[in-house]
Amino acid sequence: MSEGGNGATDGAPTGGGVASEISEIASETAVQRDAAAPSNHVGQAMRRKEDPRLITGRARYIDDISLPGTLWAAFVRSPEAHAKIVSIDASAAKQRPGIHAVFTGQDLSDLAGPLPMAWVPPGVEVNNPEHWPLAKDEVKHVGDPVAVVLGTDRYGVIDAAEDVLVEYDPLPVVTDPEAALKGEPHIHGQFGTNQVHEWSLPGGDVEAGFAEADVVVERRVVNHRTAGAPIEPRGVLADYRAGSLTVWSSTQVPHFLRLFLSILLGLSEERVRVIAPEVGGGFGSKLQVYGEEVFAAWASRKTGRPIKWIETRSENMATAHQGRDQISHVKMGAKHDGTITAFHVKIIADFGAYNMLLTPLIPSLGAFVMGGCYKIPNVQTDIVGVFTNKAPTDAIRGAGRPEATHMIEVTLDQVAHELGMSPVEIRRKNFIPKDAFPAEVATGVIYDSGDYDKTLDRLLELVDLDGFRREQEQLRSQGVYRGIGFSTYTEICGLAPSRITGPAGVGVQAGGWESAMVRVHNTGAVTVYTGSSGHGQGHETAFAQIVADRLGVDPAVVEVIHGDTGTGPEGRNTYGSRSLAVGGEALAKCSNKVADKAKQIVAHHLEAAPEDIEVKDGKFSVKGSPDKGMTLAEVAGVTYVYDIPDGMEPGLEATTFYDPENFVFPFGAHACIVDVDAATGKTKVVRYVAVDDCGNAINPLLINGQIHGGIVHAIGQALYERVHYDEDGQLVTGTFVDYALPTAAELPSFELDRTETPTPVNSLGAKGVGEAGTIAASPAVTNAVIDALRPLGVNYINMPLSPMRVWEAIEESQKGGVPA
Amino acid sequence: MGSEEQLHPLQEAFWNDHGLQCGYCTPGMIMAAAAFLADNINPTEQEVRHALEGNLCRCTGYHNIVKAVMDAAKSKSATIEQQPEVTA
Repeated sequence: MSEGGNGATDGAPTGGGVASEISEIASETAVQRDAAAPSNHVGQAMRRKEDPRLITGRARYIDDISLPGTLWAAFVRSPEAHAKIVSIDASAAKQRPGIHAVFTGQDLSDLAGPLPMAWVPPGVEVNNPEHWPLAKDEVKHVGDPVAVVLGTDRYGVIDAAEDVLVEYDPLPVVTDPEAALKGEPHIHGQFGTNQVHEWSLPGGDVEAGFAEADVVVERRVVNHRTAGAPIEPRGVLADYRAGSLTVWSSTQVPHFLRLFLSILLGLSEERVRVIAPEVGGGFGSKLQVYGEEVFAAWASRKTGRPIKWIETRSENMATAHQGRDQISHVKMGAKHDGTITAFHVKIIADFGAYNMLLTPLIPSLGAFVMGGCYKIPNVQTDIVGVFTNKAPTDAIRGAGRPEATHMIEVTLDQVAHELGMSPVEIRRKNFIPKDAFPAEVATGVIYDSGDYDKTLDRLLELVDLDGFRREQEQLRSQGVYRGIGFSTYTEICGLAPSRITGPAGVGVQAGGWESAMVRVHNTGAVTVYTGSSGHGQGHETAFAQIVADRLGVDPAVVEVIHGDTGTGPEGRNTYGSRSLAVGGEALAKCSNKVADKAKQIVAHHLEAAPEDIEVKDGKFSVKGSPDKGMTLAEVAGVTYVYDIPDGMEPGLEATTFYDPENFVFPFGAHACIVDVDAATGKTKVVRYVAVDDCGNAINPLLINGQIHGGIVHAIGQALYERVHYDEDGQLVTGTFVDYALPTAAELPSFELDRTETPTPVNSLGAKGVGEAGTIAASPAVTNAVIDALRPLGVNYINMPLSPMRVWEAIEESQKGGVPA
Repeated sequence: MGSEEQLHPLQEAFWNDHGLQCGYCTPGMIMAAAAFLADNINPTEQEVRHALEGNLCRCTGYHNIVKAVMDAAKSKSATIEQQPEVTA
């Protein structure tokens, strides 16, 4: 990053009057950075523009925002997992000082409809019960809200909520999805079943594939329920005044929230503004339109006061949507030489008590890549969704794809063991070769680009497998059980292409493009707007790098505005590793539009042809005559005083909506090395090496950060984290005392490397990376534990690999038991 | 702690090393690390990891936080070493 330079550049036009004044102002400010700006910021490990406010405690999260006259909200939540609401007595609560009102479900009957579910798959029947911000007649899971207390004191409302007496008539409870499928109790009686839907993605002919196979391996794979657990819980502040609604929410999806608030409250959309302030992590759990958000907006209109709610950790654990929770029967067939002939997966997906925004879609996202990075001709996924008396599930980091990768990669190792092949050998045998791309796979999607051998080659340079095996053997003789596990993954991200995801394709009602707006100011400073909002990913930095290169300025003068529906164009928010591959590309295209106009203006002033103007070394200069050129500040200066070609529209800004032709498919090779204490069952990750390929790197620093966090999210699931309900539907893991997020002390530092195989889908050549680590890592850990324990007879084990689970597996095996 | 104009070495190290993403845990991490480094100017990686055990982060996987604390410790101890020795 270079700054400085005197800004006054030779060859600048000397327009008179205001133009030169603006030019002078510019030369003292933004333009100073132009002259010395390197021409290529993309690819540099630039430290983040976001960080100064975050490392000095100056960032503004939802709880830092206050409005005068605010009423605080506290929700009264069900302690029962399934019950009829007999009566609600709020009289004592209302008598407490500072209590303004108590509302129950019936009060919200003027909402235009229940909370949204945005997936309508063509030709598939989905049982979709009404889900209201406050339960009306029955509660369906612990934490289901039944009433809200509003009052002037933040803590007074919590005390008052305790005074709201709710009489429940308990109903039978079911928390096991397999039991729920078998019959009563029915959670939503009107359907006469707990089944939500059935959905299949057949590819090829799996039965024919199994007929060709020499070995067939079947396993029951349990991918247990986890929590998103952002360190900042949810929170919302709603302010309705003079016919307009402003809502601040700790959300990943301000644009979706605006749309649905408008619909549910019957407010014209231009009168609803949603702002996502600094958001303290989401991991999918804030990709939602929550009842608390809708209630706050409704109550602000009702009371004429701002309404604020900040979630507690316990509420977050019980009521924010959760992830995973699938039980699958998997079946893989292979020939003696290791060629996989078929993979058939039958998933029972536990959706909890309600369908949230995208709940039933989540397992289907995994189905599209159920063949992994392998040329398996026959791949089929059959999904059954189930209601249980638990909090709803929806997208959590990876959303369906970690579950898919886990099934593929763990089963592949099981097959390799059956065939006496090494895990590396069976992977290489089945990789889609690099010259096959773009590769249409059995599931019908087209993988954009890949070079799977290259990432595995690099991984094996970093991990000396032969050396490891010798060490492993030696350690075993000392009673130390060390194992190595591999995961070579690909995934599907950059969630957009509307022609595939939209109403005519998969059936998501929200479409899937992204927007960008680039505005060059009088002085050459640049403000850009993106419809994708960051909450830790580094949007403000990576997007500034992309724009800066195209406009010949320093990223320092590119301000990225996001997360406010009142500023930029319509957007489609942040999820599915889409921000860069869709939102970043939208900004690249939009910047090019602005640059094209700037070139025409420069050409006009320098008496050259627009096609001879290039952006180089911080200037729009004439090809072959680098001295002859104008900085963006100089271009802006002449543009805003209208010293531009006759007939040209004034202004220097553009808007772009970008809808890609395809998804992008990052990939990579991970290896995990663990030590398992056979006496206690405790697993420790001693080494983790990952080689990922997310196409061209925009900012390697940010990529590594995403990979680190992603890996730990999956290590957390594999070893420590589990949302556990008992058979009465009581949440056992309601706090961070019981729900074990990994800490620094459990983990090693990671060894990362990268290869770069560009995607042809976008001009950046970049793929998403926000979920890749999470999608890759859980099978690497699981395969490593199995590898460690093979001498003790353990051949298979399901997550979470807690000391108890591992110890039990060892005990079972010693008794000659079968795989769990 | 430092200001935006004059950052504390830990703040600088968290920035340089990408030791934060959403930033929500960052003030706690930086203060915990500062208290720890006040007692241990030349820690091992394992000591840093144990010192931060009470602070949760969901974004970074701790890798870059640990790196930042180690780097800050190095720059801090370098500064201390450069100072003339005070004799009684």
